Amino acid sequence: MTFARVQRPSEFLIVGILAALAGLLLWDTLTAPAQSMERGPLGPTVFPIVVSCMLLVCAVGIAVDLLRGGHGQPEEGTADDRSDWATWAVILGAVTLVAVTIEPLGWVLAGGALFYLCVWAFGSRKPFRDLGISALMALGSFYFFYSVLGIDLPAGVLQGIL
Amino acid sequence: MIETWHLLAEGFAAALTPTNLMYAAIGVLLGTAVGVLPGIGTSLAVALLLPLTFALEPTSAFIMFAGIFYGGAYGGSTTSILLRTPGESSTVVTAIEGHLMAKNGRAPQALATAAIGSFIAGTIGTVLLVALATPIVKLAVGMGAPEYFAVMVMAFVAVTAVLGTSRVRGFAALAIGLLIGMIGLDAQTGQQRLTFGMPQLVDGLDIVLVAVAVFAIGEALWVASRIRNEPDKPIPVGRPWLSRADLSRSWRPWLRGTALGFPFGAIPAGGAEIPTFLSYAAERKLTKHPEEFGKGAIEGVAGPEAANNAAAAGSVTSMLTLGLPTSATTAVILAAFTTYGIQPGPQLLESHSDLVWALIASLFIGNVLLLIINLPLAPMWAKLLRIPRPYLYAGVVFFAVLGTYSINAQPLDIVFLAAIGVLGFVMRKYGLPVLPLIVGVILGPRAELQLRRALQISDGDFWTLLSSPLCVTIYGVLALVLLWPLVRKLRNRVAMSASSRPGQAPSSESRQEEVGESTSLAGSSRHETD
Repeated sequence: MTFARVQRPSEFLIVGILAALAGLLLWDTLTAPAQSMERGPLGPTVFPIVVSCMLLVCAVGIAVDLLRGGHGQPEEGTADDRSDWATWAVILGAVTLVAVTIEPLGWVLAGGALFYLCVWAFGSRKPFRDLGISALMALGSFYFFYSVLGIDLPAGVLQGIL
Repeated sequence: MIETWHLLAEGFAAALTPTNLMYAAIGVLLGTAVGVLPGIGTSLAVALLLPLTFALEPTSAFIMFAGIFYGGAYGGSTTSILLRTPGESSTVVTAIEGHLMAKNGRAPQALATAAIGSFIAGTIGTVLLVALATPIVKLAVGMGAPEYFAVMVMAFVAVTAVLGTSRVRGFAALAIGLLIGMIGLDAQTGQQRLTFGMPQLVDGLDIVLVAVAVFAIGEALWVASRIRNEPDKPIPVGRPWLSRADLSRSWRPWLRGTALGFPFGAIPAGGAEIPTFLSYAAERKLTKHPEEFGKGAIEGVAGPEAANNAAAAGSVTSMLTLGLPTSATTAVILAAFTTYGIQPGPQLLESHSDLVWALIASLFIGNVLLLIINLPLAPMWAKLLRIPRPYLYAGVVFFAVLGTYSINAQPLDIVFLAAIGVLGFVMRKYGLPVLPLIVGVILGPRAELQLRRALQISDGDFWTLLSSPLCVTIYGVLALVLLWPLVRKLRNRVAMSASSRPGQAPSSESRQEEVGESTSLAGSSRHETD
């Protein structure tokens, strides 16, 4: 086997993720309490073990492919494109923030903040217009879900006002 | 047979009154409006709007219901195409090529081929429902666990090994999907798997959550990370109508999708997902424009959309004749029937034949109205893409979070959404296909269930998996598909060593083939060691 130059070292992240998932699944399966209800020739552990082996085999396969100079084709652009991690982190942070704030603050504030942060991260710099649109989206979706679909989104601190 | 058509005519007579037509039109509009919300699919749209029909007398309720049903389905496809936020597992495939078409300024064509394909498939499917109800029921009853397992393995291999450039990456994505699908209680023993003691994970992750995370959040993160590489240019909207070339490329996928969709919809445990996956795989193999797949090929929208709608008609067949809902949407219809005190099942056609035929006639009418109302609106929907990029993607994230939260009202779901979104981003960045992951999540649990059921019935005898001609045929074809690159490589090697003899020039064609196959071969041969 000839080892060509690895094109993108960061691509080994995929190998790591696959191996980690395989390990996690194996650990979860092997440490599970024994089942007294087990019936039939295949218990609840067989399928997880097969899948973790499949993950491991794929991890090894991709590692070998990378060492031989292979690479996964990104969806668009080329592997050399620079990544903008700041923008990326703001989007991810904004989504996670909603998980924390949706119940205490309510959907209108949490969702409005989410929309505003995303618009800002994606490059719009018109604070007044953007805040207005965010408020409109948050309130609009709240009332649409409430009145048309009959789903009560959490009102949070605005309970009683909305 | 003649009596059947007579009954159908009576159904039309009952359904086709001006008032009922108005209800149908309202149903189509409301269904589209709700279905077009990202993350809300047909079944959820129907379930949310169902209470509106309760005030009406049964015939009017059913016709409005049929309108909601088709409107919701079309609305779901619209968001899949425009925003890549599928509301239901059966429109996940549409999101792939459809959204790529939209990015290339061909959103109206994608929407139009989806609308016409759905119309044709829905109409043919409903005709088949009228004509074939009885034989289909017989076929469905004859299929057992081994056959279902074989069909699911076929779907796994079809989307993983046949599509994409790197088989090993396809199988890696499939394995991740199978792992996600395993989260929750084991259906047979109640054993908790991968729940880590979290009660929120006991029911597993909702498929809509996974799909929205991988597609919408993954896409938003991907665009965010590349924001400096691509200037903000509004996506072109292009000319609004299907060209003659689009039509000639669409009609075969429409018919093939219909042929795949109806039988799968009609068999219990079939559902709409498998035929959409198979249709996509088939179109990708059969297309005359393979270079367009992955960049927005119209066949990749036309086929799966038709398959989805034909499967819907098929699932109505088994719901009416067997009382078995094979899709989420028919489960909701079943609920609607029971609120009127009607019990679907083999006796339904006799006990309430007037209602059944009114419903079937309503399905025809709803389908026609959908086409009339939505085809002219396609260019208008497509203008949604004119929204500047910050607002468009902020909207995608916003609705993805909203849709996810509204499934279970669980804040923790949003954390899972973010985590799987990061996974979707990494997969995009390093060229792992996302479709096998989705297929694994949806079909993995069902495949495991059918396999274990089959082996329980046979008391551990693995030969039961090969006990019927259908199973043997499916596994035979799969073995051929998986082994073919290996065979070809061996043949090429023989040819190369033969041609290295003096006087024979190596054929450049076989060389090229070997280079092309080497990566995919690595994947397939490794997989067989599993």
